[in-house]
Amino acid sequence: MHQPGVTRRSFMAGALASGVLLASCASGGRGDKVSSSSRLRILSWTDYIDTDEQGAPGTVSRFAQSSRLDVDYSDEYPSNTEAFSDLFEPNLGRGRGVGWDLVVPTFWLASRLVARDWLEPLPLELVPNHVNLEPTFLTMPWDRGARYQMPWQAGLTGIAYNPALTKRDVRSLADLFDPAFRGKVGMVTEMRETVALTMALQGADPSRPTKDAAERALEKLEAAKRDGQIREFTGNEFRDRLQTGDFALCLAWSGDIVQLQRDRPDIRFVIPDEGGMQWFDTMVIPRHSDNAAGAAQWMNFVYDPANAARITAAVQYISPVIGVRDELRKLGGDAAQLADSPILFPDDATRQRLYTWGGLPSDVEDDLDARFTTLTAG
Amino acid sequence: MSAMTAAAPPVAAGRGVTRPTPTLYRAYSIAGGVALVLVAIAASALVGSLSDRTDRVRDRTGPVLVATQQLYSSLAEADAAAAAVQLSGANENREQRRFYEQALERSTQQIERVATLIGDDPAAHQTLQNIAANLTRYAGVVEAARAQNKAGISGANATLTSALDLMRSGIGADVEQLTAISEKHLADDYERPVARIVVAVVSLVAALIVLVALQRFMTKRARRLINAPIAIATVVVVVLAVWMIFAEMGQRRDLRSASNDGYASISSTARIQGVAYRAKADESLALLGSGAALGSFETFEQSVRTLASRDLTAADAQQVRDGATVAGQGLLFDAARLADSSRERYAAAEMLVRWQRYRDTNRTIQTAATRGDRTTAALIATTTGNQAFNGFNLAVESVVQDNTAQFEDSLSSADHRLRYLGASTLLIPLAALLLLLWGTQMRINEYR
Repeated sequence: MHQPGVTRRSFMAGALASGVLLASCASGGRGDKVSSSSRLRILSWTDYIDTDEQGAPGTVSRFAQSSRLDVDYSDEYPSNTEAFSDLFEPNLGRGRGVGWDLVVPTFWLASRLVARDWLEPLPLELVPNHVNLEPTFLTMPWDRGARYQMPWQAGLTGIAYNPALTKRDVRSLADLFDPAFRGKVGMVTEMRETVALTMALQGADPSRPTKDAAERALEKLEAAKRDGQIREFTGNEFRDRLQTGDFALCLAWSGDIVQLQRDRPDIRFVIPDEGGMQWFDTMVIPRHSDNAAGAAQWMNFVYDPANAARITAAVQYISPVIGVRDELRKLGGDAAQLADSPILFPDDATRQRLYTWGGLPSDVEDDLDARFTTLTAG
Repeated sequence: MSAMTAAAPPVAAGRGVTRPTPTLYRAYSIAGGVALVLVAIAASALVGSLSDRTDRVRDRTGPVLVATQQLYSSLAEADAAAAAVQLSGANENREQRRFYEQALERSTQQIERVATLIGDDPAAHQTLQNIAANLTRYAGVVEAARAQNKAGISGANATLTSALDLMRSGIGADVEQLTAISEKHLADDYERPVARIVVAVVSLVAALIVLVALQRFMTKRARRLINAPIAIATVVVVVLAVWMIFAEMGQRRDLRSASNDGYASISSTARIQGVAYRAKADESLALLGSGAALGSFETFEQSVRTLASRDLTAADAQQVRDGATVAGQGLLFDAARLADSSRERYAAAEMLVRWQRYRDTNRTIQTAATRGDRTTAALIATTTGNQAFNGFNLAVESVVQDNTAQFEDSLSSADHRLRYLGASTLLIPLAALLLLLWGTQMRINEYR
């Protein structure tokens, strides 16, 4: 079901964003009552859901059938930065809808949208399956109780390595800066993961970041890039670099490594001793949505563990839905094997070592983003 | 209407009727005018009081009550998190430590907020000072226990227990007292405008008596059916009286609703959080204890019974969502019964489900502890147990947020009822006064 090379992390061309913007013009307003219509418009990342296959309708088709809604599902979500600058800010900032009833930004962007009051509170009376949300996602300081968003899929950022090249086990973030691996190290292009993990290496807590700590981490990364320690900052292209041997070790996303391990079981993925990053993309209902009720129905549908398990089997990221593991076993075959994956279902000891980026004021993050972009482009 | 009165000639002399003098009319109009001025003053004062009552409840008493309940649960959260951190050993649980620090920070902010809002009540300020001082001591003892725990000193658990005792006996009692003071302030605010209602009613009645008497006098002396301006003035004053009565009653009803539906629910859910946190801390203490105290979940079970007399099922949750009454004793059942909107019922159902998940996890902890496997029990408690408890706690917080929104909505509604009344208490008596003067002058003119 997976199409190699294209995942939720893929960076979409600007042309896609313009298509999104055109669609955004169709939004309508709503009052205090939960809006509803016969059409539901969902905007998500590429290849981030199970699709129709012969004899087996995908999640969108099954939902459309059960809800009798006309579902317009687009997988053309641009990068978070583009989504903010081209979709959310120009529309929601002017009191207009974005043309989608449900969008799936990454958590840090969702926190910005919450802070700006650009999201509808979830009509939880329409989402009884909210009770199936893993408790760890309820404790986000920017949305305690998950009243404005429901996570779609989560992932981990840790270290992937090729033991044939490293010639030893890798356990620490310090290994990324070990001169023995000069020119064979990769980092990811997500500032909130690469900088955060460097902060963790320096003893800071990425779940409670400070500007100073982030800047110290950036300085270390800049030096490592200058010295040739870091070969490249990549998106999920790290999979190719690991396969070709360009990278001996790199920061990597768990879902991509699960997929890679089907062909290259020798590639290993570890959560470093200092900790790994947990991130998640999350479903939100932008203000002025025409069909908040339909969006809530969708959330409820995909939070049914049986439906959530089908999505997990397809996308192979961490599901935020309680009960998915049992449902994967019921599905049998490859899906049942995923139920035993320590990457999809990290144990308690691993979970204790995970950080979620705590967020900084948006102007500070914008500055850090700009500096990080210069670093990754250089 | 003026034609009905202006066209009528004066009553002819010699028909045995005493001619009413303009002076007599003027005397009546002066009396009516004075009464209407009194109405304007008394009604404005009353509306001012009603408005003040709402403002006080909305801006001071209400937020103080909410902040006090939040303080109660923040302190309980700090307590539970401190115990959980200790249980995780030298390699302390980062998340629980963060919860502890955040809860302590929130507590300090809530104390400051209450101090700012509660006014110049010396007893309340003394209580707040006690809480603040004891909280500083508490934090110090927790840090000492933490340092001892990290250093592997055997007395660490005893040090932590003394901190928890301080929280429960000292700080807890003071917070209870603060709650009682805040609730008394709310009751006082309800009763505040009563004296002014009496003044306003008396002045309205007086104005009506003068207007009706003048109308009757004119009817009798001039043999007219009615003096239209004075009749309209009378009706206008009656309208003002009815409006004020309805506004006062409506406002009182909204405030009662805020108190019964909003605050009672906030208070109920804060109790749930407090008892649940206590249970969680007791769970940690049972695992931290030594000798007979190890694995003794008696106090934990007491708290559990306070929350729910029996296990909760998926069917119970569905019944709550459907608005049906669920049989059972305990704070969780009470909260489910208090939920009176669809959103609240769904939130209450989630709270029940998540509590049961935590309860089930605790049973596995107890089983491990009972067979003497403290390590496994502690591991479950600090991982799955903490997560399940956090899930429950956040579900309760959701209910609190909904209840707080309902409380604030009721207060806004109470305020909304007075929206146009303030200006009307001046304009309506003024209009009535002008009508009175007009009606009287028309009669006087007939004598010129």
